[in-house]
Amino acid sequence: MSGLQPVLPSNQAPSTFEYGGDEISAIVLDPGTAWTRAGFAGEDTPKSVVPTDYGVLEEAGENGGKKYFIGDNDVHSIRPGMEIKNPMSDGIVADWEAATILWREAITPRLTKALSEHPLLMTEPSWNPPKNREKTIEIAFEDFDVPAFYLAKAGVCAGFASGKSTGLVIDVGASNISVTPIHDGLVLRKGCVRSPLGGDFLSNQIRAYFESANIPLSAHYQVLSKTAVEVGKPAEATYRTFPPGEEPTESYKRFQEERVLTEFKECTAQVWVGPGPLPTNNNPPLEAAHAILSPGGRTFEFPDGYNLVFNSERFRITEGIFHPPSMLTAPNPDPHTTPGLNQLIANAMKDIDVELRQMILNNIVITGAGSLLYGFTDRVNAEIAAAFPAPRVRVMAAGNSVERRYAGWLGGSILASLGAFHQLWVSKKEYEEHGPNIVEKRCK
Amino acid sequence: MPSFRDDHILVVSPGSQVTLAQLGLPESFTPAKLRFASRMFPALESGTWTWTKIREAREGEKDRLLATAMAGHDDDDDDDDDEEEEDDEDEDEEEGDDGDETTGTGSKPEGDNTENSKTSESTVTDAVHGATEGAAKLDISEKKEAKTSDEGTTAVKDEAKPSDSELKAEDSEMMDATGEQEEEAEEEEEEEEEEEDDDDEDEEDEDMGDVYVEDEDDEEGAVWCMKEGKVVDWGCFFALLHHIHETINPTFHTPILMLCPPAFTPSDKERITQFVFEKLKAPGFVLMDMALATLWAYGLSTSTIIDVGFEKTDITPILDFVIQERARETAPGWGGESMTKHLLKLLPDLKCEEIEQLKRSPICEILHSGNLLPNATSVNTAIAAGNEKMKRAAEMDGSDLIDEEEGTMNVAAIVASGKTHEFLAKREKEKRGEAERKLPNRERETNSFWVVEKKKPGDEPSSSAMILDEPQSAVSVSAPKLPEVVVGAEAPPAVPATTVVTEISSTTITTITTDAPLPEVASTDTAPAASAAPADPTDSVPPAPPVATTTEVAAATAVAPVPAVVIETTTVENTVVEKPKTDDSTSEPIKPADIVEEITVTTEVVATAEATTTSTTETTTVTTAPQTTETAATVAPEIETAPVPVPAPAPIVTDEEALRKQKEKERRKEEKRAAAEGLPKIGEDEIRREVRVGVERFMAAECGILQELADCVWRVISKVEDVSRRAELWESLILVGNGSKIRGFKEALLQTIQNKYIIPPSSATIFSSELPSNMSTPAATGTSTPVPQQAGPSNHAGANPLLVAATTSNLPLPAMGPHGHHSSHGQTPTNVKFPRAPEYFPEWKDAGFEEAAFLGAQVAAKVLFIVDQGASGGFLTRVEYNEGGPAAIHNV
Repeated sequence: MSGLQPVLPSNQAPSTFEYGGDEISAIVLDPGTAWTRAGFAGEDTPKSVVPTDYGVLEEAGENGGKKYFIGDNDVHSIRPGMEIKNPMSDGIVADWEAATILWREAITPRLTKALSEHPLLMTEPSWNPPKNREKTIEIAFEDFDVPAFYLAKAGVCAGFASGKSTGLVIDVGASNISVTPIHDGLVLRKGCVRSPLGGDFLSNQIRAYFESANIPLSAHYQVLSKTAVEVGKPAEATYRTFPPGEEPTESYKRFQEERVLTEFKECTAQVWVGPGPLPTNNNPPLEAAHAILSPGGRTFEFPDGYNLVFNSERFRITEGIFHPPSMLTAPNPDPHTTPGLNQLIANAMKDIDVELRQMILNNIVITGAGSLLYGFTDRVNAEIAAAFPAPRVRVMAAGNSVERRYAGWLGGSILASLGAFHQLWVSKKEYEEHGPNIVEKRCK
Repeated sequence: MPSFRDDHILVVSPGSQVTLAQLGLPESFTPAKLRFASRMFPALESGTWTWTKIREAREGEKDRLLATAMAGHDDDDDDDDDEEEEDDEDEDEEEGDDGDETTGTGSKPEGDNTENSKTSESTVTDAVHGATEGAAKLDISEKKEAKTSDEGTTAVKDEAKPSDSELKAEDSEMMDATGEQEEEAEEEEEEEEEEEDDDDEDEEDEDMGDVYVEDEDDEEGAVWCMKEGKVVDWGCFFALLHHIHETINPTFHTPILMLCPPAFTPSDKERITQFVFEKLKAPGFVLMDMALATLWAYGLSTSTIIDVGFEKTDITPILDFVIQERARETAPGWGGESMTKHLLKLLPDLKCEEIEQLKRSPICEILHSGNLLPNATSVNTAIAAGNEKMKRAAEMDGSDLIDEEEGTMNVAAIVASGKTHEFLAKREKEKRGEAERKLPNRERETNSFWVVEKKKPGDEPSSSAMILDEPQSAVSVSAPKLPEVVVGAEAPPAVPATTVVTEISSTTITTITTDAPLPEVASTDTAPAASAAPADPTDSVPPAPPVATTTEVAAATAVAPVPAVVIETTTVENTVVEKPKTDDSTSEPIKPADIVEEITVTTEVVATAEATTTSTTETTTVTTAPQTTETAATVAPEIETAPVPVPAPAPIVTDEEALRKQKEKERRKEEKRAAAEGLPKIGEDEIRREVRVGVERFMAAECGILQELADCVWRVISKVEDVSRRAELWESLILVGNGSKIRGFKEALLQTIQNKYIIPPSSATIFSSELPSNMSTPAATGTSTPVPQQAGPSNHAGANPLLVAATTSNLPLPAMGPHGHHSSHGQTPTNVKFPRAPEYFPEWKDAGFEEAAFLGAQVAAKVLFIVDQGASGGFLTRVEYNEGGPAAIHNV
């Protein structure tokens, strides 16, 4: 071999492992309603992302207790009697037992087997009540036995992920859309608002639309193989049959259908460009709308092969987010009392100090998987421009869908790997001295 | 730091079943040279591990062992390099006691503080009472294992002292190794020096009490250190790594590249890093993800890797060399093993190993779901009488019954219960059967395959081959062996008489089957032998190199009434080795020890007529029963002549029971056919027999693995956040892993995915935005008969390609909204493809790409260690390790 050391060719793959593990390698856990994300601090994406929905079989576990099925493999496999549940409600934990198991499961197989060796940073929504926060720190220290813990606001983290410590974070999650003004890394509590028009709402919109239009919704698990059919023709698929008594539960079916709806949202649904509500048939500038709407017909094929072309419908189903009166799922949530997204932003800004307003408007951050809807950011942009006609209003949304989805986690990862952050950790010793209440003092 | 060299690079790929390893990168990358079963045995001292099982000698075994030990024997050197190897061979499978304590010392994984004292202690002891302290030989090299065919079991050792070469597993604490490094280094050098001198210093002390035996056959109690891609027993895992390292015995300047399964956590990686630097003393180390290595092997940048393993399947999407960690998934419990289990359920008569071999045999296929199983109803119809098919089935039964008698089982026979069939009619039927055999596998109702199995302990102690019928037996001893024919016959005076003529291109081997009490056996031999090759009593005719004739002497004829011997033929290329083995039934116990002694009478018979033969010598070794020793004429080592260069060692062993000469003949044809199809290559200590299976052989995947994997792939790709890139992932699925080796697996998986998930171009969108990407653009000439470019069974029924072409050619692309083009945002998959495997590595092409990760690892090793030499920090050097500790591996 020659002693020369040729330079790595430029088309060379980057080296195998790319995590710049910090020395303490804290774990960052970002529990959301749809997904629970976990990874090491200092990395740029979470290593482990598990569905927050979990399966549970009553009386199947040891000692006749519940048996939990967590993670993509387990939760999707078909088990008679398995119910699919979600421990979160309105973005905060409702079922602590399941949440504890779920969080552990999200961390242990992929990241580490020894939870007690890594500090843990978790995120929480800004409306998390003190009782919940205390419970969270209790779990961390008592159940997980972590050496140190911190609870960070998801909104702040999402701001950090975009490099902002001051701004307005619009997080479109599964259960909620939340608008969180932050200033210098702290949440401005009075400006925090949210509405339940998140991803789940959208799914329900789609379901409602399918029902009203008599479109059969199938799920992948029901189909063995499908045959291509013409548009609108009934499906010709081979369906899986289940012996009586072994059918999957209704919640499982719904959960599986949800995946199809997710695909629909990803591939077909679109947000009207705005500003202003989507024109409808009763609403005059119809011709103008048609010019834009008509060529955009998109086909969506269901798992059983049934396929349809969606035109203006794909705009209508999303319109409820911005313009609640046009929602399809009324009366829940109530279209008249629920604020649409533009209303939400206006409400948030109203409560903020006038001096800060300008700075905050200049740093509007859109994050959350729901914001990946086609045309979503443009619509927000248009609405904000219409509502705040100032030159220095700037809306930012990461172009990268990974960053958008995991902004909360990513901010936590940045935070926990900062050198200056080390003093903020609540250590086990401190916890033992002060009890769970310490979280209120330390984690602002 | 001096630069690394091609031949000094160690690549290791751990797996749940097999761990691959190779030292050095050849000019053209080859499949892994060494394959280790990923298991170790707990040694006597807890926390230590041995490669071969050491157990207490059984009743009856003990005396023999002691006797053997007393008789004095050569020391096998424990070392693994080739010269030693040959020595060993000449010494010919003696008791493997190894008194060379220095070697043993060297193979200790590390110098902990106690080690020196231990060593010296053992030396002293040896010297003093000459016992076999530390005598047990740890058979480190697998070559050796493969070789010690006769009396593999008999390392005798004292229990008080665990073998020197036992590995001390330092599971968790890899304590202050730094201080001990030099010490260790010295020791290793010492070892090298002293490898040469073998001093015999063991004798067996009869009073020593318990006797321990290395049992190379017995897998019971083995600890498999990995399960589902996770390390479950770190002590065992490190012991295995150490064993591999020892076996390969690389220089100090050998960096290591190790593949890691996705289930390894960062702390696992750190642990391994620590082990590699502190125990194996590697100068450079890198861990590479298996999926990424596979990607490198294929030379792609974006792909979905489906790695079907033993008990799990990993699915890893990779975009631009970046593993999508969040989306990657491991389907636990779905792998090759789930198919084995399913087959086991379908074929309850077969044993697990037989199923395993069925899966590897060419007759086991996964058919496209469109294909009906051949004669699916035949099970029923066969029972109904009068049917031609039934007759055929019946004839199968006839021949099967024979098999049954020989210990094989047959499903068809059981189903149809054709036990009443006469053997007399068989020959007639055979002809008809022949017709059926010409059908391709998938049209036949039943087909047969060969089972290779270890001889039972009662038959003959044998050494273990590492992995059954693995082609890479380059390591195995049989390779260098020279053509020889050893025919065992027991009768002392009668060295016999049959010459077997063989045609060119195939060597025939005769087995002679002598069971003394049966006179007719002898007679049957001679007659056919003379006639022609097919007719002669050969077992198997391997497509040998263009070797000329082997003449062979069949010993057996006039055999004296000595009862004991069952003969087994080993064919090594054009070589026949017959090994004597003791028949259980015989009243006289022949001590294996005696056989080991190899009292062989060899006669050399030179083939007369055949001019062309270069290698025509045969040795007939008549192994005599101990009583007849004195009559032995000559004790001769094997005679060999003009060895035809043997490209690949393909030892074939056939075991026959000679009693059924008649039946043999019937089988012979079949065997030949099998030979043409490629008989499983087997080690010397193995036997082969035929097993016939019905349509169950097509049902391996009906356990649902295909569905499950298809779902999993869909799930994984749907989890990739970047919607617009999912199509790329679908279009380059790479299927690897030995679990996918079964024939037709890839096609069936592809079809399953297509059936369930593919989105055909919609008949609606042809008028609007989406131009199906897999349609050809119509030519401007107007003669546009577009051809769907999608290969395979596609689902185009819904869309009329003509219509597509006609309409899209005229339509301007519709104006898109401000959000750009839709087509990248559509549903996936519209097209599913498996990219072709790279073709520039001929050896890999032959071996299949199931282990492509190893190829990728070689490529990566070349790039990282040789081309790059660490310029871009592609691997962790010792200096960096010393600075950063084990966690530094994450920076690489």
